[in-house]
Amino acid sequence: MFAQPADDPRKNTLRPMVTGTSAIGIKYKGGVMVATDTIACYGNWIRYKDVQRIHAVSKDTLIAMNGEMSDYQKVLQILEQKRLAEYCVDDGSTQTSAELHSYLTRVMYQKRCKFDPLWNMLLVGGFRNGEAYLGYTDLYGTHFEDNFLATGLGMYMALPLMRNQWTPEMSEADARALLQMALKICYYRDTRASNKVQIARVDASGVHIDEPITLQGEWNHARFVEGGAKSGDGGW
Amino acid sequence: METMSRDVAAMSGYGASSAAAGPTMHQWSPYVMNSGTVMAICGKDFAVIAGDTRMSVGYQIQSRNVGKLLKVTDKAVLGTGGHCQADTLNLQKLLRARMVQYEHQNGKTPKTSAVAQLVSQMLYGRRFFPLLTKNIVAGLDEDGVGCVYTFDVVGCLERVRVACDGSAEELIQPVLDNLLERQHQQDKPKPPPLHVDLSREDVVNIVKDAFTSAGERDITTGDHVDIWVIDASGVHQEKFDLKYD
Repeated sequence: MFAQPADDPRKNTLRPMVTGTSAIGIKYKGGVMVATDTIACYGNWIRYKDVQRIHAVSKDTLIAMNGEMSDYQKVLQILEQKRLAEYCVDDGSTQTSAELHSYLTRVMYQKRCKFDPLWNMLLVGGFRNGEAYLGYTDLYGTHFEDNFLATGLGMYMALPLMRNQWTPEMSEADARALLQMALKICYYRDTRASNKVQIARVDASGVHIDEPITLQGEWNHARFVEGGAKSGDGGW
Repeated sequence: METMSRDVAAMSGYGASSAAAGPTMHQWSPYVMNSGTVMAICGKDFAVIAGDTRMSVGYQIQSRNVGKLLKVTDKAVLGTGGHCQADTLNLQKLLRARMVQYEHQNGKTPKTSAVAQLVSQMLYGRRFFPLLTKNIVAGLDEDGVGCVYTFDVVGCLERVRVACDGSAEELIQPVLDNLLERQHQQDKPKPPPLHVDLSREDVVNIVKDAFTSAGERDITTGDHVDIWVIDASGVHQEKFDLKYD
């Protein structure tokens, strides 16, 4: 442990250290699907190459993270505590995704009000009684739902693609293809993204978190090889 | 190392006070601006309140469909623009809870003036860590006359005829002043003391024009506008489309 002199003010984590990049998610006909890659970076260094950034937090809800890994682990602990408390009541009722999302937002907001934020942007996905749910919350306590969501750099790169291509009638395969395309675009341009990605979904049969897969990049475009018109160094 | 970090903290003015000039340290801000605009106009027996549904951060549109209006009672609506959405949500949730408490304790729904007073006090309650919200309460007063209350971020409250708050405030307010208030136009008739002298249709059209115009120049106002008309029969909700860019 690092010793702190007694007269030093208490310091909170106001800057993320080990981070995961974009998380993206969409609703489709009969479920909701989210995706992240599987690396955690310490600055520009890939510190952890095989981390899971999507977790089930109830039988029909999962969350996907962006931001500080340790804070995300704290979020998982908090939600597990909530799940246990609920389990102990033993009345057969479980929290809906919307309720979990609301609870999570209150936790995030309270922490930001104490100047001790949980440095994350989180997606909450769920499916119950034929209804898909997809929500967003972040370190400030922002809270909203949408048909497709992205966090971090994915907001700039994946979200416009999803706005173009998303339809409410999308099948599971369509959703998977769209997410993989969006992940690939993120991998091309986000220096802290990896092509080893994990896709998870919630549908009528519950939460399914797939094994990570590796996306194949295409680096043989003429402009990549020839390089830019001026410098010829591969940049443009 | 520790001494150094303590010195930097002192120089940044965070944690310790120091007049010494020096490099400033990046400090985390608990606020994020999700911006957007709300406006309200009240007539003889109605009030119109409107808010766009874009939610943005910087140059990024996070969502095109996050409303800014909250129906507080059958006769009062709260609109919040130019805001930190997290703070807005907090205010809305607490206000809803206080409404339920009021009804249980008093056996009636609060008057619009009481809602406005409560909003003011809730904002002032956070005087030293303000909710980053620009609020308007619109509705009917106890005589059935339309009323609009505006607030600053720490709860200073005023009853007005027309109000606009948020990112396009500077664009819309002067137009409203010209069309409806006419306070410095010596040759024009003045509006009545409590409300404007236009019909409901005219007011709704002004609102639509105002938001369409604001959307041309303000990047954080757009997508849709929720236009809610409050009259004796309740709150009537309408959605009007703006540009999607």
